[in-house]
Amino acid sequence: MQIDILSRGAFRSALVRLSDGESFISESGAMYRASSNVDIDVTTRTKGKGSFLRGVKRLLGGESFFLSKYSVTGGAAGEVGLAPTLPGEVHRIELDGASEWITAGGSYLGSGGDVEIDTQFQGVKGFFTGESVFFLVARGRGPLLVSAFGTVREIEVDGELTVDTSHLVAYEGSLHYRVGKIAGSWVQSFLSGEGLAIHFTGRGRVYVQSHAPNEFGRRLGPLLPQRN
Amino acid sequence: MQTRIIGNPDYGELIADLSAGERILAVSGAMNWMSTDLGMKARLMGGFVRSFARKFLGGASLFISEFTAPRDGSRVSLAPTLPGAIQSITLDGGTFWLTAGSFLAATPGIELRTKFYGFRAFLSGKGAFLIQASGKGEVWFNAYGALVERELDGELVVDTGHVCAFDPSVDYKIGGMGGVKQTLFSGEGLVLKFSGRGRIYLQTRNMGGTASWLSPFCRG
Repeated sequence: MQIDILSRGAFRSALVRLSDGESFISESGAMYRASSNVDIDVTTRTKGKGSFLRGVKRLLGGESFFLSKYSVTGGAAGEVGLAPTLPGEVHRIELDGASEWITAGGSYLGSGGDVEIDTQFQGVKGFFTGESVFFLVARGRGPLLVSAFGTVREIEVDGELTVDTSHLVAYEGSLHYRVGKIAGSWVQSFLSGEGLAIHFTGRGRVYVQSHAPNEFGRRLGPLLPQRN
Repeated sequence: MQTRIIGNPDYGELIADLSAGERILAVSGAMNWMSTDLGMKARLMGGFVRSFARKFLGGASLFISEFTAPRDGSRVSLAPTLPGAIQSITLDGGTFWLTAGSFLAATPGIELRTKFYGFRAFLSGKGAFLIQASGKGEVWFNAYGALVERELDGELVVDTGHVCAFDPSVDYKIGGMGGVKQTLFSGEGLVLKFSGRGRIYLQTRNMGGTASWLSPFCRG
């Protein structure tokens, strides 16, 4: 399997080349091109048991109910082009089987056929993030594709890092986190317009996006006509 | 303090490295990520009464956030809500005008005030209040889209909603584009007629345009 991230600049996409016997999963609707020998199957699960419930949980996590699964037929190699909805970067994370990765708030774009995707309830701490109660957890070996609104930056955490919830793309499972206020007091935190943030501790990588989709939406929303 | 702008022109983002005790001011909600031990305080911009008046008349935020570094090597990343370019200007005792959505950040030596810019500002589609930056230090501002800098010496016509910032030595009037017919049907509507000598910064997109393009697709 070979993956190329296409286009420099503001509008990235991924081109996945599949050989015989390989498969790739993406969120539904992400495919914009495919070779004629690529077979698309709709599924609600990646690996393991349970199907319907996983789809429902994904919905709650801000992702699509169905996933698309791509494989090649006829023994020849084939290509699948995947593009996210929003303008921005696409980033590849390589899962080594040792640590799992967690993606947040609609950042999941796709993953290799051997990567298990599950939704994880974040408990009460996740309940207040305003982002999503559920995060997607990726386990196993293989590539994981995430997308961002704007640019993606990898931050190597060794100690502490605070991230605005709406700017979080993905983080390594080795990190601990808690959701809390950003300023000294709740009132200050509220007045600052920052609200809640995720405080990471430990060692691991965090991916953040330069811009926040929900902040953009909140700016645009009031300018649009009222829904009937 | 060391700062750098990354991601221009599409997704400008300001990264500030602060030494112990150093501060940076930013528009509320601009923080992307930061060192966990960085202090943050919300401050009213330009006094209590003026802040509230601005909130209701201009739609701009009441507060600015002040970040204070507890130690050397503290870092904060700031970005505007809209995708586009960021630019900085240095003030050495002078003043600079910013439209409500264009202010991103400033060093503590900069005083920020909201000023009523009159009826013409209200008609400009950016709210009746502008932000006046003055003092010594650096100011960062942002555009929706790319930033175009014009060194004005004479007159310039600018579509409403495309102005980000300008020197106090230039001023504008509200006017139509040509006669009544052109004003109503050229798709430009009211325009701003700038005159004077100084810098003017324009943005290549405006949110009103994006919204009206998107509106027909909004179905209940």
